[in-house]
Amino acid sequence: MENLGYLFAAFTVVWVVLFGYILSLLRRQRQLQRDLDSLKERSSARQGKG
Amino acid sequence: MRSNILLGLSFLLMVAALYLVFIYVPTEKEMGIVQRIFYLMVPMGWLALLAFLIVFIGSILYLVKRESRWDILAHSSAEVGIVFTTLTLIVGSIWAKPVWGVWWTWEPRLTSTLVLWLIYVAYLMVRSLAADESQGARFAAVVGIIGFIDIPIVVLATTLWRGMHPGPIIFQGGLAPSMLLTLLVSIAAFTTLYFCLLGRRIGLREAEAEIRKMSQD
Repeated sequence: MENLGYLFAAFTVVWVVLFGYILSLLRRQRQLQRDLDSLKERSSARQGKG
Repeated sequence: MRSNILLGLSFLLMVAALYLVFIYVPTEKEMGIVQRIFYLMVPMGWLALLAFLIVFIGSILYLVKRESRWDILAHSSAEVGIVFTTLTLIVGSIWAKPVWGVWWTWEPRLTSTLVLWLIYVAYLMVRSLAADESQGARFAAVVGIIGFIDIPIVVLATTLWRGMHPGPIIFQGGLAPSMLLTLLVSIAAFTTLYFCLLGRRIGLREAEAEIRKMSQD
């Protein structure tokens, strides 16, 4: 079981980085959805006035 | 729907790969338990190369056809490729310490991989520093094509120069069948994950483009 710490570290780094990247993609997706919703709201408000 | 199937397949393959790596495959005699990093290291390296091959193809098609979908593909693959190249460098360093006694050495395979990482970081920087989006896409496509020159150097580094990194044992039949099976399942698991991430990233770029178009109208 020598060097078990290195094996643990390698797998931990891979999963932490991949999960971090997936979370960043999800956060960006949520932000874009918010932007899209506000744009649609503004556009429908403008059409209502017109 | 299709992306959910791919995500489910990726999860199942990942569970299978973890079972094979930690329970099924025997411990290698020379390096001991730390050799299991091999089943992480090879898929990470393979995906770095695959991702940048897709950048290369997407960049050529963008310059030839000037269709934004090819730029979106290349840009998305470059970002995911940088994640996997970063992991290749970190995991390689963690493996090098117990085996070679150092975290890093200026050995041909390691050095060419670091150069590869720097080239594609430059690819993303060129894009963000350009005056407008289409100029950024054009400049980035040129970097994506020229940068691909480093890929054969990375692949052939262990055969062209004598470094500390072992040669291409996988294709020379140097792996026991159980080790080869574990490696192939691990490669399949991470490759499906790569395509999941690529699909998500492309979706984000398309949404960004749609929002930009809507706000200009």
